[in-house]
Amino acid sequence: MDLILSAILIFVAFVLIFLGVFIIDIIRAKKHNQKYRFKPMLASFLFLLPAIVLAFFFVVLPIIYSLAYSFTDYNLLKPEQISFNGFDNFVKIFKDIASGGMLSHAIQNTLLFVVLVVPLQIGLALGLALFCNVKVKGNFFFKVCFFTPVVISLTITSYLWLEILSPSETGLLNSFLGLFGVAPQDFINNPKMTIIWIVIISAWQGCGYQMLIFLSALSGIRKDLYEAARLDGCNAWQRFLHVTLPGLRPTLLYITITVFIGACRIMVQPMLMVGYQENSVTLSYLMYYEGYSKHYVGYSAAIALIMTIVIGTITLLQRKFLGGKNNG
Amino acid sequence: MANLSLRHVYKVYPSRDKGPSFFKRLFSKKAREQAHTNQDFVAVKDFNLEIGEGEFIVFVGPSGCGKSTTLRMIAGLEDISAGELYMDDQLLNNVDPMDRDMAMVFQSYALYPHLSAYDNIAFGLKIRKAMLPKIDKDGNHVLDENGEEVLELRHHNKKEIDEKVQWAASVLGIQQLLNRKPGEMSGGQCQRVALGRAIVRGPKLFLLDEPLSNLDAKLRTSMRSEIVKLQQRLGTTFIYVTHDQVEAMTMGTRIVVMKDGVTQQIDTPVELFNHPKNLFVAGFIGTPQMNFFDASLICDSKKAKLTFVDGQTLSLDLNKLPSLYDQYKDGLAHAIKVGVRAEHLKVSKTGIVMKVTMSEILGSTTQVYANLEGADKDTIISILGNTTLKVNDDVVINFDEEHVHMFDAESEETILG
Repeated sequence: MDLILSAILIFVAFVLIFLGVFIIDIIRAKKHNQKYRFKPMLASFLFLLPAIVLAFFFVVLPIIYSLAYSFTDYNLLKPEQISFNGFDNFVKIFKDIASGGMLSHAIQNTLLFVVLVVPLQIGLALGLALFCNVKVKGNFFFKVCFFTPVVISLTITSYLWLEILSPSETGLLNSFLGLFGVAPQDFINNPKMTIIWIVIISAWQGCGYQMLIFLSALSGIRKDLYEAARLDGCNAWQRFLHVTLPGLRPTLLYITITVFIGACRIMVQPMLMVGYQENSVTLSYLMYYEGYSKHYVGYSAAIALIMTIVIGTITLLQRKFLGGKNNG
Repeated sequence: MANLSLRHVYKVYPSRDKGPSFFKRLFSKKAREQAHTNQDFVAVKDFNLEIGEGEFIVFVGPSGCGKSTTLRMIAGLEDISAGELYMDDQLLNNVDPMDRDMAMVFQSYALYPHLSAYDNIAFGLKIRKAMLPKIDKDGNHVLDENGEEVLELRHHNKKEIDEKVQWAASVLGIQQLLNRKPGEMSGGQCQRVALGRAIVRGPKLFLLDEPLSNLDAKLRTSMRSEIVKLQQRLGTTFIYVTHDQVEAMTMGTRIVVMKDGVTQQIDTPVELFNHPKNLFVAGFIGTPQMNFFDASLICDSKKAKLTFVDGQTLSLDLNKLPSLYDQYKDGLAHAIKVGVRAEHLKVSKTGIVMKVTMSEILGSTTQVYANLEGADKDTIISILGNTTLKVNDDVVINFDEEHVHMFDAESEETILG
């Protein structure tokens, strides 16, 4: 009952905020002696309403709840025993990190994954885009090939790669290496290599989408700039450096941010391919595990909150340093 | 500075349309015939031109006439399908654009949007190595035994780049713009920077592809004279592409008139104006456009008699006409087109009668539009000062015989030698 009541309360607050915006708008118009046209304004708000309602239930409400849960000891199996426990969850997080528990492994793994996958995936996407941008017969075929992994479900690709990396002698990679006399190896469960393999698999799966964005950005770079550069004496590499890269800069920023955020949330591949182990656990996976397998939702929400703050800060920093000023 | 020579240059674009499919051609006769007529597009046809040092050559013609394509072939941005391009007796056909030592100014300016005007101008200097005086540790030029500077292939240093950029900026009057980015400059300013980027390297040849087309009319006129002055100052060969005949006439030392990939006439502006070789050149050069009359010509040894579409006749003194080809002096009727410019039509007592349809007062002159019965286009008569002619008045006009042009109606070539 409380849950429904609080949801209604939050929704009312949400509507009130919008009403406030509405009223401020009217007051501002009055101040500048403009006639306030009520009907079109109301119409525009009505058009926004479906989106607002959906956003409320699926974005705003979960955020507010998880924010609230992070200060409680909410257990999924004992919802009636929920009580406010202040900063206990956060204290526990820092204790866990200090003691080198699962959380510290998750942080290490996630950091390693992000640091490796962001440049690899972006570089791969840019390379493929440059390759596909050359007008050669049959490059549509390559575009389709490179994009296909994006539309295949993560679960399917994970199992596909499990087959490839299978430790048995009949595994695809092992049987190939066997031709050269290499003994069968357990690639993915090798503690040092787990994250590396996951990096390779996610970069392969994800880069097709970024390739498509790069391709459309490449077609937006004016051809005469390349011609001017050729006459100025640039070779192919210099043309890439002085014309293509500056032209791709806004796209590069967008892609860096989205890939970075996506990489921070890595979970499916380690979960399906390795399981909850020290060498594979990531922050999202740990969050999921704490919340849904151990039912400590409060603790899980606290981790989510800290993660959100860290990712948000880094994203803003990226915008500041990579975005530069408006480049005309 | 360079001599440039284009010999039998062609540009052919293979047909994009692959025509009917194999199966259609197998079963349909119509498709087979269609496949045969499916031809490649010839953009430039048998282009021949010798350009001397310090010339200002203008390529002019309507859109799609192949003038830009020819320029881009000279620059190396387009392959030459057939023919040869020489600069100072060196075959350039397969030389990379960066090694041709030419600079190009584009219609769209093509400035690097992320670089300031200074860096845009300096860009080519930074990228490219050049033969420059050798410099010792103290920054002095190294001299050989004879007291001459020793040259070596190296990049410009910062000081040299700055000197050159400042020189180019002062030539073009853009010193105050050097810190701005292309997005913060007007079209005219951008074009000056683009010119600066071209001149700073001191290339052998300048190629300008409709550089003034994106500017407004007033700026275009002033930039026009500035480019001419710049060319005179540098003394380098310029090749300039435009679709504007006024630009061509005012700027070029020689003009190449092109149409549908074919060179129509290569001549000085005065010659083009006074002795157009065919109907197209006559109509293209000069404002207002030359008046054309369909007529039949009967000519004996002394007089030439023109009969116009409405039956009126006019006889011209052969002595005053620029020499007419002999084959037309046979006393038989020949279908021709007579071309007379508006300023060479005189209002007089004898001549052909037309009806005034409109008059435009331009200030120093008045343009009277008159219609010859049966003609599909109005004739424009340029009269000095004002006129009392009103709409629907009859006007009697005569030709200034020394400035009459005649063209064969079929071949459209001139029949005056």
